[in-house]
This record gives sequence, structure tokens and C-alpha cells, in this order.
Amino acid sequence: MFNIRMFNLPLIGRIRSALRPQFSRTLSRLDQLGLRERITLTLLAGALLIGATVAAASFLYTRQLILDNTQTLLETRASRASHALEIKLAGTAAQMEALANNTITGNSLADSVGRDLYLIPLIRNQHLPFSQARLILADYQGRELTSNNLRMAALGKGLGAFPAYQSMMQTGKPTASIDRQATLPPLLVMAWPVTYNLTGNIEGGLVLVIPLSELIADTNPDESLALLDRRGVLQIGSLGKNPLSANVALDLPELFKPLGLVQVLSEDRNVALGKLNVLVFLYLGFGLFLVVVINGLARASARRLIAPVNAMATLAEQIADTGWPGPERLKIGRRDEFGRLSAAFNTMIERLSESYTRLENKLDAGTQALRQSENRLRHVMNATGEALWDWNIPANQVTHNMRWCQMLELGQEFLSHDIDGFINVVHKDDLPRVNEAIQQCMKEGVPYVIEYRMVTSRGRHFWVLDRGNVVEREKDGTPVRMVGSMTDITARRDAEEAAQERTEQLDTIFTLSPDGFVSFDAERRVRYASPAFLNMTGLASEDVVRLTEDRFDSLISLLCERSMPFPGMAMLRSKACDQTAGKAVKRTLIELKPPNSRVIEVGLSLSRAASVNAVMYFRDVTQETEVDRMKSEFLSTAAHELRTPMSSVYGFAELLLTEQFDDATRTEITQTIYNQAGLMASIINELLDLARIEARRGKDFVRTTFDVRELINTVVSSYKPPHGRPGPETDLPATPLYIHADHQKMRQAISNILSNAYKYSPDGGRVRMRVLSPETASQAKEIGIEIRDEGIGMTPPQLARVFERFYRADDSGNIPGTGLGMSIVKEIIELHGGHIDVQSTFGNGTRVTLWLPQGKEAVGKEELGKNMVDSTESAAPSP
Amino acid sequence: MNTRFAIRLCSALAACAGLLAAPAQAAPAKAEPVVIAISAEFSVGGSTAAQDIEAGVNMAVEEINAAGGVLGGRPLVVETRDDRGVPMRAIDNLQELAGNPNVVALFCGRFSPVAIELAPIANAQGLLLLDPWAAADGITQSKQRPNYVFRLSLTDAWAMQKMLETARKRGYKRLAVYLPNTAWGRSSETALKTLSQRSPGVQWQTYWYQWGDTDFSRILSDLRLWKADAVLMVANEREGALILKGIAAFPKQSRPPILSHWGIAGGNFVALLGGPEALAEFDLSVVQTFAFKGLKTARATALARAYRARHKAEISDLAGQAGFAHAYDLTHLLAKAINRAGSTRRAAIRDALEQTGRHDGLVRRYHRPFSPSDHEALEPADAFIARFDNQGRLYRTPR
Repeated sequence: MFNIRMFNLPLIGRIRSALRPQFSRTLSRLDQLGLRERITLTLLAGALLIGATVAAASFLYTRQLILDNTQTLLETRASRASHALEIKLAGTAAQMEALANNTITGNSLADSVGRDLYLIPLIRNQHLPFSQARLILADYQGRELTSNNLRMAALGKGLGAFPAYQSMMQTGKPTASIDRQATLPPLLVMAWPVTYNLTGNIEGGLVLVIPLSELIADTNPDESLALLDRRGVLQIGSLGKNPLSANVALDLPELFKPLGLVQVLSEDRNVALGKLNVLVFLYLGFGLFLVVVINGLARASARRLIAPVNAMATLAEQIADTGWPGPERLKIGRRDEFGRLSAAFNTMIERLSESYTRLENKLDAGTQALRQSENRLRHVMNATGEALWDWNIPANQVTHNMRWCQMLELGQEFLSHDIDGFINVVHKDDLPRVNEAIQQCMKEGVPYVIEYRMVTSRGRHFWVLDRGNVVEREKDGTPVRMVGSMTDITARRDAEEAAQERTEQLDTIFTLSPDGFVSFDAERRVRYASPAFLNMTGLASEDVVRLTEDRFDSLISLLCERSMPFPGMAMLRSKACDQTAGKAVKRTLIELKPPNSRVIEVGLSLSRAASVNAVMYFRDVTQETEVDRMKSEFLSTAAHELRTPMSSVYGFAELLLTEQFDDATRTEITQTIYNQAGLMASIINELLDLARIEARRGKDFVRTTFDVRELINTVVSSYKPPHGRPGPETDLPATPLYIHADHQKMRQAISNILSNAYKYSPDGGRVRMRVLSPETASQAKEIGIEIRDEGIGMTPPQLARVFERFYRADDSGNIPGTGLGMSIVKEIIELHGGHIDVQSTFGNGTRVTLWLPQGKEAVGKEELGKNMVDSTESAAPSP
Repeated sequence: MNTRFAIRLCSALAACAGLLAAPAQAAPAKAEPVVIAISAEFSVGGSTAAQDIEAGVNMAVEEINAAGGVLGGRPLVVETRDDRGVPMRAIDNLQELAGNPNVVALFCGRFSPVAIELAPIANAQGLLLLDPWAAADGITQSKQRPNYVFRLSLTDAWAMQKMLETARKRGYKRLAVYLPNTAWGRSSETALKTLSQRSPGVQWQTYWYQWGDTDFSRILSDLRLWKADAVLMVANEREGALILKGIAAFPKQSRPPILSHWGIAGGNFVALLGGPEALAEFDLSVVQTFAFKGLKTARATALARAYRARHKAEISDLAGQAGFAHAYDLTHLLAKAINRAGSTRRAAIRDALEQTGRHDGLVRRYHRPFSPSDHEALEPADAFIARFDNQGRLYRTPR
């Protein structure tokens, strides 16, 4: 009936694998059924299968019969309906043709004034078989001249727009077409040419418009009529969803031929098959009745068939329950296979009863002997000091001596118990370990020794050392008996744990300490070196541990710079003795050679402990030393820088006091003093600035988001270039670029760089500023402010020191300045999260680029303006 | 008298000055032509009326342009449209031409059904409709004001009057009147009804036919049943020829004399009938307003000469001589009106037409061709009875 290849094979596979467990579950459920139920089920299934096949076959046959019958009826009716329509349309066409050829019609084209008198009666008296047909006389362009009635809604366009009309005017032949407009129902439009009598030309047309729905108007309620065109497109009516249908190509006059109309009469298949539903209900009812009857019959016959087997099963179950074959026997009522089976079953019960009695007598004797042997063993076990155990594995019996009961604070009733009694007194956390040891011993036959915790009857924990082994096995190696002993080792375990804890504490302290430690034992050998020490010196633990004091001394000496050498162990010991005696001791510093270049304070502490003779410590003081050095260097540089203008001031002031000068000279001297004092003031101001910036680390910055272009414009407008030099040239982007920064500080930074650009290009040349937006810059998300001059530039060594405080590329003194400007700029930019890029070629000028992280662009202009005000106010205290 | 002469002299001098000045002014820039349009039945087989009207207009236009055009040097040009004798096509032509501001007037063709439908449209569009032929009375009698339709032609009323008058003179008592079922037919019937009250001795019976009918056997058999003395026929050349052929089937002595409206003179009637010799079978009189044959005026002679030179044919051989002459005169009247109006503004020309004074035309001398109350340039007395000579040419019968 169907081809399995039609289906998707992987899908079938999936369904099959999903159903397989279900199917096997059903099968296993069937296996659990009794014989009687199985026979009942088999009979029932057979009956149902045959019944269903017969029912299905007759259902299908009847259904086909009904469908065939309906189809035949439908075709007959379709043929009748199409004949009726053909006659109507052909009659109408003939009538219209006659009207179009009537000379009165042609005459009326030339007679607009008078034609209504004779034409309207003529047109209205055309009795057409279509009640809603509209008959129109139109001029050569399709304009309506007169019509039969106005019942139909006005056609949306002139008739000239209808394909049928255009085609008629072109060919001079009657034409028909189906017209579909959005506002109107589908229409059948037919046009006949009207000849102008005077000239013989076609100067108008007779148009008949019929709603397509009129062509399918008369149908039975259960049926539906439809019209298709030559392409099979539905023009009017409906075909239904699952129809039975009869198609008849309409035989119509010539003008309808191009339409190729096909009439379809259809009836809903479900309506036709409605009668079948009654039959289906009858089948179902009868089928249900049959199932009930067959089920009853199948049950009765199965019960009769299975009765002897049931009796046999009941007796066998009875013997299994009591373990003893009683006096009951089966009745033998039949001579068939079931009768023979019952007789053999009775004989089997007789034989079983005899052998059971023999076995019972033998067992009594053996039990007596065993009991005596056990008593002897118990006495021995009680006499030993250790707790003993003896596990009879097949009997699940563990036997102990009294020591075991005492250890566990148990009564005598626990001298013997099953294995669960043992499991209960082992500490839960240790149980898996114990179990594993016993299992391994059973498997490999090697005695086991294990320490674990047990719990007394009062809940006290204590440690035991348990030793045991398999002492008896079956022939196939299965262990039958295990014996062993237990010793209480709680005291020993406590002592070990205390020692372990202390060691771990010390280890942690030494490991985490930033200071390094090395300890020496009584033989003055290195016993331990802490990780901090190894880290400072770059030595490995095995390089140091076990070294004698002398060899350790020379190893450390090799690591030190000559400028700050290691003073030797002997010196350290003597200092340690002095310290112990309460004398003041100067601290000892050493400096390690590269790559570990560090300044380290070392010291030694003596100990009287037996295992530790001395402990040497190493403290990293590199940072402190460096800070000290930088402070003194800075102070000396600053003092030097201040001293130069100070001596000028002092010298010239002295001159003024001691000598008499003319006014011009005095003015010149005063000017010099003024200049030098100004230089000092600016050095001090910039130092203070720097100090404040460093101290506050940007916390006093008033950060706002503003446009870089605005910043540059502000700086450029307020900057006064040296006399005779043009202001800086700027190249700014078209769109705003925002940064989040302190406006005041940024102005200061840019002004400093601008000032340098002018100062270091004394021979003139352009100073240019531009903004590098993220698009143009290699650095993503950063905005660069580039200031470029064409001045003297810097050599590479000068460039390397450009951010150094008080460093000035010009040592001639011709260019004024404090040497602090670039340091301040660097501090400001770096505190903003940016960085400075300086490129310079000696003699060719310098290019400084300040890179700042890009701010959010979302800040609007008004907010920006407001922030600007805020920043000016809060920045007021700055000089 | 002296004063009037002085005024005339002045105006003549002024006109001369204008004529002299006009070419001088027009010379630098080529003057925009003024368009006269003709929408007529050019393509209707057998009908020559449209061509005759066009010839008349052209002849007049040539003369006017030769004399310096209108409005001080603008030439007149003629544009034609074919309406195939179909009213709707003529209306479409009118509406198209009305959109051209240079078009000052539209000449219609011979068919009354067309002209009568054009008239209200022309009035609505404000375009001058000049009728050199179509005779239905209603064409110029619009109730619309201002009326833009002017006719220089016969009307049905005058034609009927002339025919009835002739019938009475000739002593016909019973007339069979053949009418087309159109505006023309009904216009003629109305005229007949009005006039018959004045001719109590004459009885008449109307017979209607459809325009384009080919079978007239029914109305012809009725003719004998009714025992008509004469046939009064309102028909164009095609139907006219068919009716006459039907009459020709009667025995010669029982063939009634025929008084025909002038529709048969609009085309190849003689040829349709079978040649000039076939005319001898009938006593056929035709209402006319104009015939070249026998006309001896200077203008007619000059025109005949010019026509001969231009068309290599005799002007008197024209089937539609009346249409030619009417169109010719109407064109000259229009040119005068344009000059009088001083612009191509249609309303001004219309008013000027109504004011036009004396004009010596081809058909007659017009004292005042049109007035606000009368848009007919001719008058009843201009209608006369004509007959075909042995060469098929119409001539005016002696009174």
C-alpha cells in the first residue's frame, strides 16, 4: 500500500529506537501474565484482527461505492447546468448581435438629441435572461451614450478601458472578456461593434456587462458552481476544500472562445460521505459487542484448560513455603498429558521426603562437635592482652575476647555478633579505609595493618592498630575465616598530632614573612632557608641547605657588590653577642649584585635550643635607601638651581648698596634683580605645583567633559607669543572630540609645551597645533594634542632626559626657564590616565603629543557650558 | 454727405497707412499665423462637401493672405480634422482645437446631426462655430448667451418653405415627405408643420427612414398606396440616389416629380444614380442657394479663373458649389471681424462678427450679415430651385 522509502529513514530509526523500550516493556509485561490470560489474549487478538480486517474492507468498499455514485450524479447535473448556461449565453449573444446590426442602433450614433425617444425603449425591451445585465451603447471611445438601466453601480472607468471594448474596436468583431476591478464584483464584459450607417465604419459599440455571479446563480444547496478560464484560474464561485467535481468545457459562440470557460460543479466530499457515518457507528457498536462476547468465551475455555496446572503449582508453592513435603498429593482425573504430569509430580514428592529425613540426622551430630570447639577457643582469646577477633565469613559471625568488650565499653553479650556489630563501632570517616584494607586482604591474601578510630558505647573516640589476615579459604579461594587483633594507640596518636600542628604553624610564618631567614643547626650547618631568602638571593633551597657556616659565608660574599660587602659570619656572631649583652649595634647593610640588585639588612640571632644554633635574617631595604638617595639629590639640585639667581640678586643688591650709579645703570641693575627674583619665584611656584600635584595624586582635579577644540582655542587665544612671532597655527577637526579632564590643568600643560615650542625655536619657524582624533590616530580611543615646532630640536641623550626635573636642553642660559615645565606636564597628563610622546630631531624641531583617553560624546553643549563654569569656580584657589 | 465722405476718406487713408505700415512692422519677426480650423466629414465615401468647403476657405484665405493677412500682417492658415460624420468625433475635434489659442474659428461640415451637437459645445468653450452648410434650424438658435454659432447657409425652414411654395405653384396636392430619423429630419418636419398651416391646399404624409438604410421598398410602396402627386425628399446623396433608383422602378408615367432638399448636392449623387443620363428619367428639383452656372459677376468670374488655374478644373463642375461659396464668403467675413476685433480674442471676434457691415460676397451682397439677434447671413429669399443640366451640373431655373 505504501512505500517505506517515501519516508525519512533517520526519522524511522529514531521512532523505532524510541519505541523499542516501550515494546520490550510491553513484552516483559506479557511474559509476567499467567497462561490463562495469555490464552485469553491470543484468542481475543485473533478475533479482533479478523473482525477489523472485514470491517475495514467493507467500509472502504462502501465508501468507494458512494463516491462513484455521487460523481456520476454530479456529472449529469453539471452537464445539465452547462447546457442551460450555454443556451442562455448563446441566446443573449444572438440577441445582442441583432441589436447591434439594427440600423436604428447605427442611426442613433448620429442622433444624440432624438435617439432617446426610440433607442431607450429598444434597449430596455431587450428581455435578457440575466436580471442584472447592463446593456450600454457607447461611442467610438467607449463613452456611454445610453443604457438599459442603472441598477448596477457605476462602472469605475469608461467602457473604453475594458479590454473587450478595445479589442472589439480594433478587430471589428464581437469580443468578450472577464474584468476584475477592485470596487466591483467580477464582470463578464461583451462588446458588439455598431456600424455607422453613413460611412460603414465602426463608430461605436453595444456593451453587455453581466456580473459573473449571475452565471452560477442556480445551484443546489449542497453543490457549488464555479467558472474557470482557459488557464484553469478560478473566475467565480468556489471549489470547496475537498470536493468531488465535474468539469464541463462550455460550448459557446465564437466571441466567448478566447475565454475558454469551463464550468465546474462540485460537492463537498464530506457531505457525500455523511451517510457513511451512520454505517461506521453501526460497525463500532457491533464490534464492541463482539469483543465482549469473545472475551467471555476465551476466558471460560482458558480456565478449563489450565485447571490441572494450577493445582500442581499450588502444591509446589506449599512445599516451598513449609520446606517440608506434607501428606497432600495431586488428584489424577485425566488420562491426557496433564494426568501423566500429575502422577510424576506425586512420585517426586515421595522421593524428596525420604532424602530430607536422612540429611537432618547427619546435621545434628556435626553441630554438637562444633559447639565444644568454640568454647575452647573463647577461653584462649580472653586470656590475651589485645583485643582479638575471629570472623566466620559464611556464617556472618564475629567472635571476640573480653578485652574487645572492655576497650569498647561493651557488655559480655557483645563477645559474639554479626559483621554489622563491627561496622557500627568503627568511626564513620575511617570506615571506607577499613573496608578497603579488608577487601584487599581477602583478595590478595596479604595480612593487613591499619590504624583507625573506633567509637565506644559511650561515644568516646579512640585509635586502634588493627592487624588481620585470611586464615581459611574455600577450594576456589573464597575466604571463609579471618582473624586479627587490635591495640589501643590513642596516646601515641595524640602526641604525633601536636608535633605536626606546631611544625605547620612555623612553616607558615616563615613562608609568608617578607624577611628571609636561614637557620643553622648545632653543627653550624644550614638547616633551613625560607622562601623569602631564596627569592631575594635567587638561590635554590638545595644550594643552601646542609652547607657549613663557612661555605655559606663565602657563597653570600660572592653575591654581594664590593661597595657593600658581606661582613662575614664571624662579625655577625660578634654583633649578635653584643646585642645580647645590650650594646647598641649599627645595622649591617649589604648590596646584592645584579640581577638581584637589592640593598639588604642582615643580622644574626643566637639560640640555645638543641636543634637550632642560630637564625640569620635578611630584610629588603632597597626602597628606603632609594628614596633617601632621591631626596638628597633633588634637594641638592633644587638648592643649586635657586643659588644661581640668588647669587645674582645678592651680588647686584650689594652693588646697589655700596656703589653710586647713574639712573640708567641703576635701572638696569634693578631690572636684573627683578628678573632673577622672578625666576626664583617661578622655580618655587613650579616646585610647589609639582609638590601639590604629587601629593594630591589628582584628587583635587576638577574633571569635566569638554571639547578638545574649545580647549585649544582657549589656550591659543590667551597665549601671548614672544614679540614679533605669530601665534600657533591650529588644525582642528570638524566634529567635537570630548575628553574628561581638568580644564585648568590641561590649559597649564598645553601652555607649558607651547611656551617651550617658542623658546626652543629662537630663529623663528612655525608652531603648529593639531588634534589627532581616534580615526587618524593609531591609538584607539585616545585623543592626541600635537604641538610641533621647527626649532633647535634635541639630541637622543637630551630627549632621554627631557622629563627630568631641572633638566634643561639649553645649557647656554640664553633660553629662560626652570626645567620643571615638562615634569609638571608629565605629572598632569599621567594623572589623567594619558601619556606623552616626544619626538625630536636635533636641528629640525620637536613634536610633542599629549595622549588622553577619549571622553563620552553624549555630553551636550549646555551641560558642557555649565561644567565649564563649575570648573572655573572650583579651580579658583589655584594660582 | 460731405462729412461722411470725409470720414470715409480718413478711414481709407488710415487703412492704407495701416496696410503700408503692417508689412514694415511684420518684417523683422515672422508673424504668428492665425488658424482657421475645419472639422468635417472628409473621409465619408461619396461625399465631397468637406473638400468643397475646404476649397472655399482656402481660396478666401489665399486672397486674404495675398492682401497682407490679418491683424496687420499675420497670415491665416487652415487646419483640418476629419470627423467621419460622427458627432462624438466632431466634439472631440472641437475640444482639441479649442485648446489652441491661435485657432479663432471652426468651420463645421454639411451634416446637421453633427453641427447641432457641436453648437452647445462651441458655446460652452467660447469658440466660434461657422456653419457653411448644415441646415437644421436649431444650430444657430441656441439659448446660450453669448452665442458663438454663425451660419451662412440655407436653413431647413427656408428650404421647406421654398419646396412647399414650388409644390403649390406646380399644383401638387398630396406630398409624400421622406425624412431621416435624425436632427435634420426632425428640424425639417418642424418647419413643414409650421409652414403647412400657410399652405392649406397641400396635404402631406411623412415617411421616416434610418440614416444609412439601404432598403426603401416599404416607404416607396406606401408612396403608391397614398397616391402622392410628388415626393418631398430630405436626404443625402446616398439615400437620395437609392430612393430615386426605387422610383425609377415605377412606370415612367407614374413616377412622381421630386422636390429635394439640397442634401443630395453634397457629393457624388449623379454618379451614384448612374451618370447624368440617368437624370433624364426624373423630374427632379433641388433647393439651392448658389450655382456658378450662369453667374456673371466680376468676383465669380475672377474666382472661376483662379480656381481653374489652381485646380485644373471648372468651378461649375463642383458638386457642392453652395458649400464652396458659403465657406468662401464666411472666411472673408471672419477676416473682417478679426481685423475689426484687433486681436485673436475669440469673444472680441464674435462681437465683431455681429457688428460687421456691408460686404460684397460671392453669394450676394450682405448689408449687415449678422446681428446680435440674427446669426443667419442669408435670408429666405436666397433659396431658389435648381435643376441638373445634362452634364450633372446644377443651374438656377428661371423664375
